[in-house]
Amino acid sequence: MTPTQRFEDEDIVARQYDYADGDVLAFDLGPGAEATVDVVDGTLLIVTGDEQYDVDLPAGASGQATLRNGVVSIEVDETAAEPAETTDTEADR
Amino acid sequence: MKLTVKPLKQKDAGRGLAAVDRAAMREMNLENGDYILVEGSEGRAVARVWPGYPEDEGSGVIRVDGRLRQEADVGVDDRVEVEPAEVNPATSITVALPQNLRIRGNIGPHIRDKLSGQAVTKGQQVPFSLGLGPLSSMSGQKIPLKVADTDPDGTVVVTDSTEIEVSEKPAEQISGESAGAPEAPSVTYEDIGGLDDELEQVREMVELPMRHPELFQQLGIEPPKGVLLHGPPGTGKTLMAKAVANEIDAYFTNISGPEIMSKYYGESEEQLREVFEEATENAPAIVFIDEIDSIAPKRGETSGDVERRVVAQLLSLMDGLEERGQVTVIGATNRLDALDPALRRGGRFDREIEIGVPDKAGRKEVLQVHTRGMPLVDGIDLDQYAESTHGFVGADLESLAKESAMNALRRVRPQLDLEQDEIDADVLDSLQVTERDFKEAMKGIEPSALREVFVEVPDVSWDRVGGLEDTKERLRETIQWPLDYPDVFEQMDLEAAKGVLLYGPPGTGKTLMAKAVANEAQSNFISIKGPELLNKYVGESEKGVREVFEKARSNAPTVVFFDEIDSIAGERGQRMGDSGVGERVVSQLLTELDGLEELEDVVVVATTNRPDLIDSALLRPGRLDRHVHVPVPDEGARRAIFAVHTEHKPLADDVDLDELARRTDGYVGADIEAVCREASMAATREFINSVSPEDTGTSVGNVLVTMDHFEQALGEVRASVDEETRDRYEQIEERFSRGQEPADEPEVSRTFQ
Repeated sequence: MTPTQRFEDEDIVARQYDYADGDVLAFDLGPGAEATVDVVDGTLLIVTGDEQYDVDLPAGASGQATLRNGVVSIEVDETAAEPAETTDTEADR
Repeated sequence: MKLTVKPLKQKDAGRGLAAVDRAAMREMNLENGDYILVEGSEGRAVARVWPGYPEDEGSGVIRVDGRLRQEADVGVDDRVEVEPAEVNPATSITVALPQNLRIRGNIGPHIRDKLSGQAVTKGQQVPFSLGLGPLSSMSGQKIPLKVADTDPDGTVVVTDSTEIEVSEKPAEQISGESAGAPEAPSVTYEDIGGLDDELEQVREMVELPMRHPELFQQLGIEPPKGVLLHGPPGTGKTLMAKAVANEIDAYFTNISGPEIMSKYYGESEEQLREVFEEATENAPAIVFIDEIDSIAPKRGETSGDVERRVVAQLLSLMDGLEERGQVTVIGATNRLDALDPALRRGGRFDREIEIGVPDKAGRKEVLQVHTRGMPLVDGIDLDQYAESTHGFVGADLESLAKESAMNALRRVRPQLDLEQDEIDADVLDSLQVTERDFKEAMKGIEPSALREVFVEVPDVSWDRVGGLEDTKERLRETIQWPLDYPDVFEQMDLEAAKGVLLYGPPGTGKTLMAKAVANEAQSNFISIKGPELLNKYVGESEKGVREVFEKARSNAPTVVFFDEIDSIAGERGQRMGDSGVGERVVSQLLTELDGLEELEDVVVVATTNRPDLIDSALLRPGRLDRHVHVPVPDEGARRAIFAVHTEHKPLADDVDLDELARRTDGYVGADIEAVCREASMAATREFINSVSPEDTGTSVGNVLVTMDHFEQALGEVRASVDEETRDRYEQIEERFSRGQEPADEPEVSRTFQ
């Protein structure tokens, strides 16, 4: 199970993009979503309202997750991540 | 900075996101999630930054969906000015609904949910979906919602904490600054799923010449004049033409065949001329001719004089002496072969693009499009539906989504009071489409291309087939493996078998086995009863065979099942009594199975109890290359068959299935079924004769089928296969396994007669 697949059931867009210089995991919680994000021991925690999502990050994640207007993004180091194509997971409805 | 607009992927659409190329992001110092202002020549739109697709890196691309493109009034491949935007979260906004919308109660939260995250400006018209999208025609009926006021002023973004007020005045009476704002786009590129390559081709042919005719001047060629879209019904030909017309903002006119026909001499042609004249005056323009086969059939084959003149007029309009200017003709048809050949040359329809039946990825995209505005409950896995909808075209998938939503609607219908003018907002909110709604809808919808030949897939699983383990295993290898493990087959450079011939004495379970295959293989299933292909007209019988395979190909993966194949594939050169129809059918079958046209993912399963009568060319490798003998069951198999048939019967304790199996040597599956039926019948007879009719209901629970009943049944049902027949089949099996043709010896045939 890729870290993004679990969002399939939620109204959250989760994508993993594979760039030349590393991967980016991005989540869209919807703008104006009241949320906090944190990285603890290689796990990305997203808390929105009363829901919490844990995402296991691949080893080598930079440890800096940003949250802006509902878009959460975190960079993952090239060496550790699996060279996957754009992960095709879907949470949109 | 200036960036080039491209469409978003279908699944990312509708969230107000703009995927910005990362190089451009760095240059503008943008972070993911920042608001940006996308400024086209006429309009402007606000979007949130989303990480650009890796393939766009460094190419200066911004991807936005159709709604944002419409808002900013830009088209795909346009250059737009992009800059970071200062956007404040709204504390409150006031919206006005159209006058004719009849909804009661507080829909504020509902609107907030839907609008959440959108950036709005006072006076802007926002297309707003009420959630039951597919109930209306195109990807959700959108209600034009007008933003009457915002606090603070300027462009604000609706958040989860924004207060939504619904204005007393209906939207029609509020004249915002952009009163003449364009309607929401009816079809955008994102509304087309699974046809990326085809769309690209159409755009290249239509959009490029209109936007940049100078490119073609430079190259010294005439820009393309027409595109012909063809493919099975419901695959999206008309939709694509609409989307192109919509996105490039050209003048669009539509010719529908019957409309231009007139009873007066010469008037039909005149109408056609008028359409083209009108288009030329409004150039750049697109003339779309839907169902072009209706106005441009082959001239040699039409009966009417009018049709011929209309075709001739169309030909000369499309490539006549008069310059047509920037008028592109898009034709759509699902009967390509019915068109006049003169239309199909360069200069008229320069390119013919096939719009095919979507594959799995395409189907998923189409489902995403049609469920975009639908309130789905959590846990619905569209992938799974994309996987199990082989042969569905876009229209089928749309009706799948629509039916699911209708099922959801049926649930709330009792709560609806149709007398009332308005619907309670709570009810609207509670409408959700569940997994069960989808499952129910799946049952009712079958792929349209297969409707003619569609059979209800029988509900027979492998465990309903008693014994025959080897045979089952070989069938599974042949039919299920290539579909389940395509990678393995590719790695091993192994081609899937084209066909399987099941042969054996009557009643051994050949047809049952084919049913199980159909059920378990997750493929489409076409069943052909031999004689139904025959037709009294010359050539029609062969055409039947051709059509079957044509259907199978376009709906792959498919299992084509020929029951009693000896009836249509007898040895050639033996009987000449039927003026050679039988022979031609066999030849057609041979070329279909192993001809120039590749059969991909189509498996033929044929059954017969006269393998010696079948044309030997059909049995060679590459055609029906697997010959599986379904033998008379041995004792173990008979035990298993008894178990299957007595599974739900009330058996007495003294019934010993092993004993029964031992005593039924020579019985085939059908005989054993008959034995079981006779035994229960005997028990039933005894019961009904001994009990008064009033008591049957109460005492039926005590009836048991005893060994005595089976004794009786065994006395009545005889083994249908004798030792000699069995030997013959074993000989045939031996011949097949040695690769010899079985039918050469007339002796063999005589035994079966």
